[in-house]
Amino acid sequence: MVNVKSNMEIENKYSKEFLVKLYEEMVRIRTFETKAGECFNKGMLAGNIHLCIGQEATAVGANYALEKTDFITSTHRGHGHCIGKGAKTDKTMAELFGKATGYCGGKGGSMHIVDVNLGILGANGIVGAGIPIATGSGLASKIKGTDEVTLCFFGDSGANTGAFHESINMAATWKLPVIYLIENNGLGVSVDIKSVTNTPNLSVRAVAYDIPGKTVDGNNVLAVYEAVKEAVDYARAGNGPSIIECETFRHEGHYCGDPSSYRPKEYIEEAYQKDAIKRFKEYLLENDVTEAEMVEIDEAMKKEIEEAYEFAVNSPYPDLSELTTDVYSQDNERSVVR
Amino acid sequence: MAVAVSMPQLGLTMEEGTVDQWLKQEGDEIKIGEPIVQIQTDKLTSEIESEVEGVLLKIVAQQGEDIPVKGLLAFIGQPGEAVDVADGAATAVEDANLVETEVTAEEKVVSLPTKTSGRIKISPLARKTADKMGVDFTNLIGTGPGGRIIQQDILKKAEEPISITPTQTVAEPVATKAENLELMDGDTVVKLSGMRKTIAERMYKSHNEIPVVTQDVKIDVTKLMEFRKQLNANRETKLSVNDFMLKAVAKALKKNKNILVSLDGDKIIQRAHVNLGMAVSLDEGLVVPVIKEADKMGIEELSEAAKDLALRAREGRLNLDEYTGSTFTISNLGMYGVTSFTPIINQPNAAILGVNTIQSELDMDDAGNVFKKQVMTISLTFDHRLLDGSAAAVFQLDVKKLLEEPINIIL
Amino acid sequence: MSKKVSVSAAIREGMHEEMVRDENVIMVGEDLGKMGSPFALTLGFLDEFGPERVVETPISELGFTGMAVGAAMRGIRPVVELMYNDFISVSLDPVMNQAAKLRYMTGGQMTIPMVIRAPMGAGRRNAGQHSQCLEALFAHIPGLKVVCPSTAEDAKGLIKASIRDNDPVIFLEHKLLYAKKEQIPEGEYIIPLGEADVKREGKDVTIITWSRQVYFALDAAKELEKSGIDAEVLDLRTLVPLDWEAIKKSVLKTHNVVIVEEGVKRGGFGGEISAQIMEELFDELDSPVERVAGLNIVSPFSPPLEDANFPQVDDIVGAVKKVLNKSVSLV
Repeated sequence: MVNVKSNMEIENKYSKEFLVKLYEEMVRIRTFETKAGECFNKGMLAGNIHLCIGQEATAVGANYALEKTDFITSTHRGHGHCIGKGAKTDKTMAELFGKATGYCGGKGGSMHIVDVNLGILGANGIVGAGIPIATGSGLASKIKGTDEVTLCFFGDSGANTGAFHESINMAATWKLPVIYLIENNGLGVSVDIKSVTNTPNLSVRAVAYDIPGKTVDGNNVLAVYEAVKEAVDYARAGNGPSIIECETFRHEGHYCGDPSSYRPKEYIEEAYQKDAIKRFKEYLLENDVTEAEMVEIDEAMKKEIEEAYEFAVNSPYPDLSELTTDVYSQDNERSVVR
Repeated sequence: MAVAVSMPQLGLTMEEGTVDQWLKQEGDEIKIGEPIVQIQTDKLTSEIESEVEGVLLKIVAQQGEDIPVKGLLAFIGQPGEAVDVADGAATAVEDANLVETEVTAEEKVVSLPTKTSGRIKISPLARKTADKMGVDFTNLIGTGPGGRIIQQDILKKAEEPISITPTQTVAEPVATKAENLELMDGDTVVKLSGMRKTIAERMYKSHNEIPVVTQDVKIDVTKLMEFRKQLNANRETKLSVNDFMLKAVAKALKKNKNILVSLDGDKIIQRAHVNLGMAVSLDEGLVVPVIKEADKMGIEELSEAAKDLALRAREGRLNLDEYTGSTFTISNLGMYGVTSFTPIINQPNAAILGVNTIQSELDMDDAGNVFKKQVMTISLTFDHRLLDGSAAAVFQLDVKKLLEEPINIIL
Repeated sequence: MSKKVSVSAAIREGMHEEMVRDENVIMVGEDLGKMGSPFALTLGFLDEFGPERVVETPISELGFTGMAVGAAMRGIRPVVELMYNDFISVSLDPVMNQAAKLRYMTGGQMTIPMVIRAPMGAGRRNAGQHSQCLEALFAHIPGLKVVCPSTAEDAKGLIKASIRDNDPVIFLEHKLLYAKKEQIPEGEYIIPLGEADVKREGKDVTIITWSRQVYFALDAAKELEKSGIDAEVLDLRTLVPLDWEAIKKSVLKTHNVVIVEEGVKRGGFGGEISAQIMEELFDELDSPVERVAGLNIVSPFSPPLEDANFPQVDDIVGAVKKVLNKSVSLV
C-alpha cells in the first residue's frame, strides 16, 4: 500500500516539451520566492511571508497532474501552489506588496493568494483549514455530477489537525474526488514532525480510511507528478480520495527572517543535497535538454520576475474607498455601518 | 518691567469690584502709596494705592466695569514701555482684544464653581425640548427616575401661566427687569451698579422671600430724656438716644435669644452672639456696620463703637469684617421725624427694629390731671416663618421696659 | 388566506420550497436523514431529494461546516444544521475565519452562500452546554449575517431569504418556539433580511427584542396596559444587517427604550443597540436605555434556577416602569 520512492529513476518517458515546462515552472517559483525574500529583507513587504524554496517539486509535480478545470486549496506557504496552478507572478507579487493590482486587491496578502477563475480556492492562514474546504469542493463536484477533482495541499502539521480526520473520513465514505497532498517538510514551524507523530510517515493513515495512500520523494518532480496523476485518475473515475505524502525540505525558516536555528545541520545538508531543481537539472541533461536551453529558461524567469517586481512596485495601493467594500456581497454598506 | 495692577480681594466673600473712578490717568507719574483708582464693591468703596513707582502706562479696566478679583486693572511701568496684557507683564505690544480676552478668562474662572456645584439632572430630550420652547428648568422638580427632569415636566411647565412662584425667585434674585422705560426731557440714565445694585438685589430678595409682620410699640421716654440729660451734664462726649436704644436692645436680645435666629433651607440657626447691625445712610445708599457682641459692652463703649463705625462708614474706611456677621439690625430714622415704618429685614437676620422720632403727647393720670410726656414708637419687622407675633411682642415689651426705667439699661 | 403551522413546520416548509426551487440548495448536518433532524426540520427530505442533497454527516461539526464552506465556494447553497448553536465551539474556524472573511480577503472574488441554522436558547432544561444564545458572538464577526426569527410567519420568510442570500447567514432558531403554532400566509413569500417588525404599536416606550423574548415583551406590554403604559414592541428579526431606521423611528416616537435579550448581558447585542442609540439619538432620550438580559452566568439546569436566569415578563414590566419612573406594583 505504501510505496516510498527516493530517487529520480523514472520508468515512463515524457516529452521534452513537458519536461522543460516542469523545469521552467519550478524555476519560476524559486525565482519568485527568492525575489520576494529579497524584498522582505529590504523591508519592502509588510506582515509575514512564508517561502517555499525547496518545495517547488511538490507544487509543480502535483499541479501538472491536474486539468485547468480542477481545483486546489493551498496553505500559508502557498505562493508555489498558486503559481503552479497558473497564477500570474505579477499579480501574485503585487498582492505581496499589498497593491490594488494584486489578486485580492491587497486585502489578503501573502497567505491568501486566490484566483477563483484558475480553480484556486485559496491559500489559507489557518493550518488545516483548507482540508474541509477541499472536501466541500469535492462534494460540490459530486452533487453537480461534474468530473473536476480537488487537490488539497497541506503540510505535515495540517495532517495533525482534527479537520484532517473529520474531512478525510467523510470524503472516503462518500467517495469524494479529492487528493489530500501532505507536503511533509519535517517541521511544524520549529517542531520536528517525528517528535509529535508516532508513525514514520503520514500516508499510512490512509489505511484507517480504507483509501489509497502513498509516500513519495517530494523533491522528485516526476515522482510527485506520477503519484498525483494516479490519484487524480482514481478520483475522477469516481473511486474517491487518496492521500499522497511528499517528503520534502524547507530551505528557509518558517517565515522570512526566521533564523531557524532549531534545524539540525543534517537537515539543511540533506535539503540542499536533495534539492529538487538541482536534481531535475541533472535528469534533464541526461534527457536531451542542454545546459544552454536551461540557462535560457533561467534568464527568462529572471526577466519575468523582475517585471513582476516592477509591476508590483509601480502599482498603486488600494484606494481607501476599498476599505469597507466586499465584506458582504449583498447589503454590504448597511451591514458594515452597523 | 511693567507691573500689573489687579483687583484686590477686599474680604472673604468678594468676587468682583466695580471701577468707580480712576484717580490717575494714563501717563501720570505715580508714587508708592499714592491712590490710583477707586473701587466699589457691594459693601464699600476703596481706594487702591500703588505699590510701585512709575508711570500709569495703561488703564485696562474702564470706569463702570465690573472686574473679578485678581482681574487686570492697569499697568504701571517706565515711560514708553510696552505692556503685555496676556501674561500681565510688560513685553509685547498692547492689544485691546487681548485685554478683553484676559478679563473674560478671569471671569470664567470665578464663575466655574457656581456652575458645577448645582448640576441639574435632566434627560437629553427634556433639555432639548426646554431649549426649543424657552422653558427655564433650573428650579423644576423632575418626575423621572432619581428626580430627573423629563420631557413631560418641561411640557407641563410650558403650559403653566407665567406666575412668580416662590421657588422661582429664590435662586437668582433679579432686582429689576428692563422694561425700556420711556425717557422724558432732562432725564439722565446711570448704570445700576455697586452699592445701589447690591441694595436693590438684597432688598428685593428679602422682600420676596420673607413673610413679614411689623408691630409698633409706643414707649414713654420722658424718664429716659431726663436721665440722659443728667448723665450728659458732666460729659464731654454726649450719649445719644440711639446709644440708649442700642444698649436696651442688646440687653433685651440677650434675654430673648429666640429673636437671634436665621433660616437656612430647612434648618434654623440659633445665633450665639448679639451682633447689632446698624443702618448708616450714605449719599450713595446704605451700609450696615456691625457692633459685635454688643451685649458685652457698657453704654459708653457701645456709644464709641457706634460713632466710630458710622464715621468710618461715611468715609468709606470700614474693613469688610465690620460689615458682616450681624444677628439683629437697628434702623433709626428718628432724626428725620419718621413716626412709623416697616423696615426690610437684613438677611439672614430674623428681625429688624425701626426706631422712630420722639414726640410730645398729652396724657391723663389716674386723678384726671392732664400732663405732657415724650413718646417714641419702635417698629419691629420680623420673619413670621421663624417668629410669631407674641414672641416678637415679648421682646418689644422688654425693650420698652428698659427704656421706660432707664436706670435698668445701665445696671 | 392563511394556515396554522408550528414554527418548525414553517421553517421546514421554507427550506422545502427552496430545495424544490434551486437544486444547488442542500442540507448538511447530523441526523437529517431518517430522523429528519432532532426537531423534525428536514423530515421527509431524504426520501424526496436523496442523500446527495440531504447530507447526513458524522458528528464532525468542524469537518462538515468547513466542507459546506468549500461547497459554497463552488456555487452550492448548503444549509448546515448545527444541532445546538453551542456546538459552534468545535466548528468556529470555518465560520469565523473562512466563510466570514474570504470574500473580503480575496478582494471580492469569493461568494459563500451558506446558511448555518442552529437552535438556541434556554428553557428546555438543557443546562450550560445546550442552552446558550450566541447571537452576539456571531454579530461580532464581520462577514456574517445574523437572523433571529420569532414567529412562524417570519421564520419561513426569513429562512427563504437567508438561503437566497449570497453571504453566510447564521439563522438562530429558538428551541422553545418550534412547537408554537401560528398563522402563516399560504404560498411562497419572502421576508428580506434587515427589516425589523413592529409586533405591537405603542407610544410610551419601545421594547426592542428578538427571538423568543418577543413573546415575553408582548405579554409584558399587555400587563403594562393595565398601568396605562402603552408599550411598542419592536422585533428586530435580523441583527445583521440591523434595521436602524426602524429603531430610530420608534425611539423618535417613544423616547424611552428597554432592550430585552435572553442571552448573557455582558457583551450582549443589547449593549450594542443601546450604544448606537446613545451615540445617535442621545437628544431624543427621556431616560437612560435599560437592558433586560440573562445574568452573566452559565445557564443552569435546575428549572427554578434556569427560569430565574433568563428574562421573564415581570422583569420586562419592571424595567419599563423603572424607565418611566412608575412605581412597580408589588401585588
